[in-house]
Amino acid sequence: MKAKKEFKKWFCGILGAVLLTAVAGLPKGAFALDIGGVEIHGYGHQGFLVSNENEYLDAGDDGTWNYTSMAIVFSSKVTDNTTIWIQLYGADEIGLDWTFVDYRFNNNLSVQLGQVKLPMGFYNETRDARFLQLSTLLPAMYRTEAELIHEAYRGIRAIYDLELGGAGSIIFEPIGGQLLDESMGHKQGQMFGGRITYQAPLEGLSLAGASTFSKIEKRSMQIEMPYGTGPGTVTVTTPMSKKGEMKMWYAGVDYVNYGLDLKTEYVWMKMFDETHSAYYAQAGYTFFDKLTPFVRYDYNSTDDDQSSDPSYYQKCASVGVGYKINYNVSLKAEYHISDGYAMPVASGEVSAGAGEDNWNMFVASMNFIF
Amino acid sequence: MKHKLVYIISLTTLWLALAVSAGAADMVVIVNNGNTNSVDQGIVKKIYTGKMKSWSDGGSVKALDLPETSPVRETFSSSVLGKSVSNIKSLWAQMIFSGKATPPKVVGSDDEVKKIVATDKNAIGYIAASSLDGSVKAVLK
Repeated sequence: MKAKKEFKKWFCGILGAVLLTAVAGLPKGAFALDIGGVEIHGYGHQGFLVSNENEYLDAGDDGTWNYTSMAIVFSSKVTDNTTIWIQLYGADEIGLDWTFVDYRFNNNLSVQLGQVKLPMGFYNETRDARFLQLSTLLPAMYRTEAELIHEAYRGIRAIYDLELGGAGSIIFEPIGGQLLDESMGHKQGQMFGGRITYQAPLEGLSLAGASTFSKIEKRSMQIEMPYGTGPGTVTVTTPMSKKGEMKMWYAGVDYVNYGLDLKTEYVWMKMFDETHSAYYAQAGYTFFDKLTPFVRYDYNSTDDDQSSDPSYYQKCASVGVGYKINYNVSLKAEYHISDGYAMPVASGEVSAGAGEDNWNMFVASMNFIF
Repeated sequence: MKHKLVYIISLTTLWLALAVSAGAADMVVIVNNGNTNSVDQGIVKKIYTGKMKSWSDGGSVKALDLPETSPVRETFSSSVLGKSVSNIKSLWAQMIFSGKATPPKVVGSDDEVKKIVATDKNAIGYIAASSLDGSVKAVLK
């Protein structure tokens, strides 16, 4: 554990040094470093979080600065049609985020093979790049602890862009492989699914639907037991073996144009007999290409059968503002007012039944891309 | 008094109009003289938003951008792509960080753009209209 922390410290230090060197070495107005045919891009954020009640993301009422991540993306064109992509990512865990070979048959069809970001929702593939998002704290459906939308899978993805002339275009992205499961106690089997995105003739309007089906084996179970005579519980993990299926359905609408950024997304998942669901609606408007205030309503249930229990649901109203200092650096500040504490329970920082139903969080961050 | 006010408003409007037109640089989109592919605004837009990576003759498109601070780039972004430089950068960042495409190469000046386009059959770029000469072909003004 200590060695892992030391490694993380060194990794982040090296990553930071590379990023600073990269940013400092950029010619004025350039977007990336190009070293020997390898293009290097990156992003990262440093956040501060404070929560008035429930501990979440390491934040209590004293606040925490432990909300950092950085990534470097390498891409290299090995032939006119073949590109190799690698992303290294460092946050709570460090390592290879995704890597794949992209082969383009023509302008409309390409195939990616390797460890690929899951095409699910409008954010998923770029969810760690906070510079590109309206908020630092993402909608609950995208947070790792929600265990709803997986980050990546190993396998294949085809991308086919069907032009419909004046009626817009439809992008088909069938996928197959094996999900990378961040949660404990599950073994993922074969997965297939995909995303379909309709880009309407009204510029900036997209509608998307996605789904995945996968075999899954549960290898351990967590049982919550009363802790002493108090209201809290203690979680005990026991080994088990149960085979089943995981199904996920997604739908979303996105409109980004004329400074407006409107999004609403819904996701539903069934794993064994348990169902989870989440949705949100969000609106932002950018003034002078710099200042972007936003509002959001976000709902998440980590177990639909217990969705009246505040340990398993969270309703959150958020308001915030982002400010782009330049094309590469931004600042964000936001306030989240929650009813229910499903996310702190899901992250393991608060036991079911032991949290405060109504609680607030303040989040501020500095974000960059290059 | 009334006439004076009208005079001041007219002068201010004229000054603002001149200031805006002085900031907006005339630009042309250029390709290699040997490039025989048809190029219109729709195709240029597809190239500079990552939707088109090959010419119709099969050659791999090599798109060039001027620096973000260039007034010619601002004009190109707003008049040809219909979006601000900042919006286009966000679009490319999304494509980079999802592993879909890499952005056009940024070069420092009109002369550099011309030099690359003149020697590479698959290159496309844009420059100030005043920099245009016979070494390259203008396809969109």
